[in-house]
Amino acid sequence: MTSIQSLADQIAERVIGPLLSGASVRPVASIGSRRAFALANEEPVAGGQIGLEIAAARLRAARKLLPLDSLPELSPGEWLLASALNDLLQSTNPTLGRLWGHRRRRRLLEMATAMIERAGAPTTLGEALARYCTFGGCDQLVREDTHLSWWSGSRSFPGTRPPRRLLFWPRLRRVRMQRDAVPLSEMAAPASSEQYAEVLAAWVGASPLSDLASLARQTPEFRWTGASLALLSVPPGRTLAQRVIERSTSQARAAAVMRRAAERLPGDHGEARRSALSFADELEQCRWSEPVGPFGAVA
Amino acid sequence: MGDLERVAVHQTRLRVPGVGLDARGVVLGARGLVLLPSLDRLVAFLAVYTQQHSLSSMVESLRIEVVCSGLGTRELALSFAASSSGRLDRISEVARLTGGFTFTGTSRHYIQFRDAGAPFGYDAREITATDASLVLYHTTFTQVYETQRELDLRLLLLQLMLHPDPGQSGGEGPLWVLAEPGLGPSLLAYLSRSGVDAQVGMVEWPPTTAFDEQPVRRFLFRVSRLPARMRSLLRSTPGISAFEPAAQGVAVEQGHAHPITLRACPVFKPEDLVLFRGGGAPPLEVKPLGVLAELSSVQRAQVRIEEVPSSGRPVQDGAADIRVPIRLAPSSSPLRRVEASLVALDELGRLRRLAYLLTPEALRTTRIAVTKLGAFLIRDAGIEALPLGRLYRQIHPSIYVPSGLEVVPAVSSDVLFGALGAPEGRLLFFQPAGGVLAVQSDRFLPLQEALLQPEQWTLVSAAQFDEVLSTELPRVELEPLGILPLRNAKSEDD
Repeated sequence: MTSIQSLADQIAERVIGPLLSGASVRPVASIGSRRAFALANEEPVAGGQIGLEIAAARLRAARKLLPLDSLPELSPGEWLLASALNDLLQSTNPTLGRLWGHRRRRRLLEMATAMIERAGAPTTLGEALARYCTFGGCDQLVREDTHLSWWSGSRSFPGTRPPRRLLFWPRLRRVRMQRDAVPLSEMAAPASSEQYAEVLAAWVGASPLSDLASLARQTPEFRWTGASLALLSVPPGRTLAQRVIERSTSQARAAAVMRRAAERLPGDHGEARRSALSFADELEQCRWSEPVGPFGAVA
Repeated sequence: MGDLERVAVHQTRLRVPGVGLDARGVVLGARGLVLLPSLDRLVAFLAVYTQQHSLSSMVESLRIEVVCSGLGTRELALSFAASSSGRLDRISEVARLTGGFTFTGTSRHYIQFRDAGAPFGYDAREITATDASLVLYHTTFTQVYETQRELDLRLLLLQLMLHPDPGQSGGEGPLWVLAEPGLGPSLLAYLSRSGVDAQVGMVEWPPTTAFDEQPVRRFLFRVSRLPARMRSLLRSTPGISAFEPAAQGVAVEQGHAHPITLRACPVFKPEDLVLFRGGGAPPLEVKPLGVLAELSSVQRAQVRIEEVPSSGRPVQDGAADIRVPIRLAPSSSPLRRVEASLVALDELGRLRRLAYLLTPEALRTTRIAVTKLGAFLIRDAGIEALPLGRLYRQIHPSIYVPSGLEVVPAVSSDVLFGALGAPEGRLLFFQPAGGVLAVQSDRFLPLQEALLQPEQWTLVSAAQFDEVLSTELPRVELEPLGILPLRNAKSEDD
C-alpha cells in the first residue's frame, strides 16, 4: 500500500468518516500541501468498511435535498479540502509548542490556504452537492475543551483529555472539571485567530452549499463568493440553496444576512449584487421548499 | 224552364245520357262541370272554393278547358269527378257566388245540377245530337261547345299575380330567404352570429337574357324560426327577399298573398320550390330544391395555431365561398364559473405556494397537466381556489374558452367541436390571440399526485449505523504531535 493510499485511509477513517457519522474527529499528523497535492493527484478511493460508511452517509445527506441513487467517490477537491480541514484543526493543537507554535500555526494555515486554493470552487452542481454532503456537518464540529482545577492549580486541555493522574482523589484534591464545546470558528489560538478565521472562511467558501447552510454563523461572517453566486445562477442551484438554508435557519434571518453581505460587494459588481438581492427576496417570499424535478423544471 | 224539366220524386228514367240518381235521388253524373264566363271568374271560383275546401280530392280528375261556343264566345269549363251530390252542392254554391253554372254529366252531355227550384235535379226534354265535345243543358240555354285548349292548374297558379297583404308579414314561423350573391355571406354570418337555426344553399337559374353568360345565382336560406326583430330588417334590405311557406314546395313573398289558397292546391311537388314574388315579378322555380346545408356546417373553423399569413385559396370560377372564420369576441353576458386555467411557467412558483393552502377536496378534484407552455388546471366544480393564470370556462366537455370571451359565430358547442375536427382524447383551449391548444386528456392527473415527488430509493449496501436520533455530534480530539509536529507537513516549495 502506497503512502498516499495509507494517508487517504487515515484521513477517511479519522477525519471524513467521523465527521459524517458524528464520532470523534482525530486529525492525522499535519499533512502539508505537498502530500495533499499528491493525494489529490492520486485520486484515492476510501476503501474498506469506512469507505462504505462514508458513501452511505454522503448519500443519506444528499437524499435530504433531492432524490439520488448514488454519489461519485470523493473527488480530488474533496481530498484537498479534507486535508486542509485536517491541518486547520491541527493548527489549533496546543502541542504545537509554545516557543515555535505561532510560526508552526502560521505555516500550517498557509499550507491549508494553498490546499484550499488548489481545490478551488466547485465547477458543477454535482460537485457542490458532493462537497456539501461530505463537509456539511462541519458547522456542528466542536472541540471539547476541558478546564480542570484542583487544589493547587488549574489547567486547560483543549481538545484533549486531561491525564488521569490529575483526576485522582477528586474530593481530597478538590478537582473540578468543566467542559466547554468550542465551535470550529473559535478553536484558534488567540495569536493566530485572525489568520485562522481567514483560512476557515476560505475553506467554508470552497463548499458554497455548506457556506449558505451556515450563513447565520457568527464567525466567519458570511460573505458572497464567486462560488456561491455561481451556484445561484442556475435554477437547480437556487433550489438546493433554498433547501439547505431552510434546514438550517429561518428564511427571514438568512435573507437579512444575505442582504448585508450583498451590500458589502464591491461597487463594480452590480449584477452580482442584484443576483444576491433577488435570491434574498425570493427566499423571503418563499416559505416552503420547492421540489426540483419535472414539476419544477418545465422548460 | 226552357228545355229542361224537373226530376220528380222516385223518377228513375232520365233522358240525359250518363246521369242517374244517387242515393238521395239527385240527378248525378260521373263528373261535375262548372262553366265560368272568364278567367277571372275562374280565379275567383278557385279562390273562394279553396278558402273552405281543398282540391286534393279532385285534383287528379280536375280539368280546366277553354271552350268555344258556336257563337264564338269563349268560356271556361272546369270539370272534375263528381263523386257525390254533396260535393256538387258545395261547388254549385261557390259557382253561384262567382257567376258560374254547375252541371253534371259523364262525357259530352251535361245537365244543370239541382238547385232550389229542382231539388232532385233536371232532365232534358230533348238531347241535342252533335259531335261537339261538350253540350250543356241549362234552364236558360242549351249550348254546344268545342274544347279549344286545356289550362294547367299549376301553370294558372304560377301566372297569377300576388296582391299586397300586409297581414301576411307577421309571426316567427319558418321562412325562406333569398339573397343576392353579394349579401349572402353577410347574411349567413349575421344569422350564424345570432344563433338562428337555418340552412343555406345556392340556387341558380338560366340567364335572363342572351347577353348574360352566367346563370342567375342566389343564396337561399331556409330559416326555421326568425326572430321578429330580424323580419323588418330582411324586408327592408334591398337584395333580400323573404318568403313565407304557403304549402309544401311553395312560398309567397312576405307582405303579399296569392289569390288562391295554395295550401289547398296540391299541384306543386314537395321536392321543388316555387317562390311567388310580389310586385308583378314572375315566380321563381327551383327544380329540384337541391342540397341545403346547416349554417354551422358551412362555416369552417379557420383556426391559426401560429401567426402565419393566410394562403388565400382562390375561389373557383363562378363559386362563392361562404365559410367564415371562428373568432373570439368580448362577451356581454355575466361572468360565469371558470373551470380551468393556464398558469404560465413563470407563475409556477406561486402555484406551488398556493398548493399548500388548498383543501384536500380541492387537491383531489383539481387536475393538472404540465406542458412547455405552462400548467393547465381543470376543476369541474370551479377553479376559483387557484386564481392564477388565464381563466377558462367550459363550453363543451372538450372545449374551453377564455373567460370573458365568447366564440363567434355563436354556433352550438357540438358543432364547434365537430368543426375543430372532433379530436378524440384531447381538450381544446382557445387562445385570446388566436389559435387553439390541444392537450391530451390522459396527461391530466390529480394535483395531489403531481405535487409530491416520488422518492427514488435504492438498496444501499448493508452497514450498521447508529440511529439517527442518537447520532452524536462530531468532536475534535487533538492528539499530541510530538517533538517535530510538522515533520511531514511540507509545502511544494520545501
